[in-house]
Amino acid sequence: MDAPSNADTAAVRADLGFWRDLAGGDDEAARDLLTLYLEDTSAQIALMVSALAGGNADQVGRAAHACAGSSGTCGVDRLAEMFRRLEQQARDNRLDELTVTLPLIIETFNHVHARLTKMIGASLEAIQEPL
Amino acid sequence: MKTVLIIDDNPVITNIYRGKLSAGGLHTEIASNGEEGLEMLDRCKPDAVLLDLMLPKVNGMDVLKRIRARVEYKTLPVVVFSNSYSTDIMQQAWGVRGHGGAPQVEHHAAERRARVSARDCQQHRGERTGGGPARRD
Repeated sequence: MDAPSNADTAAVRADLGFWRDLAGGDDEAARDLLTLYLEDTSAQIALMVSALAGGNADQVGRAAHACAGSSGTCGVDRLAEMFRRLEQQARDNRLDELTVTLPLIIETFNHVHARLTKMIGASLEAIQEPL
Repeated sequence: MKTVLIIDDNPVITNIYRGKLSAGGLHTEIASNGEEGLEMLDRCKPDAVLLDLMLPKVNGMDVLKRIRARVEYKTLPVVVFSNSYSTDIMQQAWGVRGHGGAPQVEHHAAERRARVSARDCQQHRGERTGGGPARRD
């Protein structure tokens, strides 16, 4: 598998305006959406790890499908692409490939998580700054 | 206020649709699986439905067929979406006004779906002649 560098795969839309627009609301709505995306993707990845340990490729595929959709919608394109690849591998029941791809996804998601969490923090700091 | 029923098990996606549709002045109801979606259809009397195809319990294609099997919902606008974007699946999705979900344009597709739903709400409202489901005004 051609694995892009971490710097590439961690590329996210790190401007709050993008997320605000996506959420259809204000900064708070954007932060809520960011938090929801990170929490839901974390939970789905945990589910994939557990399913893979149990040899359940179907469950891995379903979780990967969900993550591909939300990551693509949220502009986390490289991660979405990796989830789609994982989904296809799961559909084909290629368990050996899943064991390679999933750790790469986890590593990439950790970078994405760090960048988006930093953005949430910066946004909250801006609120707390005295006028 | 017109109502859009969103049937999708992905909380991130439903959050985005809810935000966009609410910003457009539409009320939204959310069902997280096909079975719940069918139950909510009669309860909330939507003016349009956004329907994911890959759903737990009852899948989106079956939900769509069961919607269209009801005479009162023959003209109800339904927009289906799937990030699988399989042509075969989309071709099976008979009776739909539009579809979306090409993965590389997901964030644009979300906007487009919201616009389609708003437009279809207007059209559906105009099509009703008094025999259809009650509306929320």
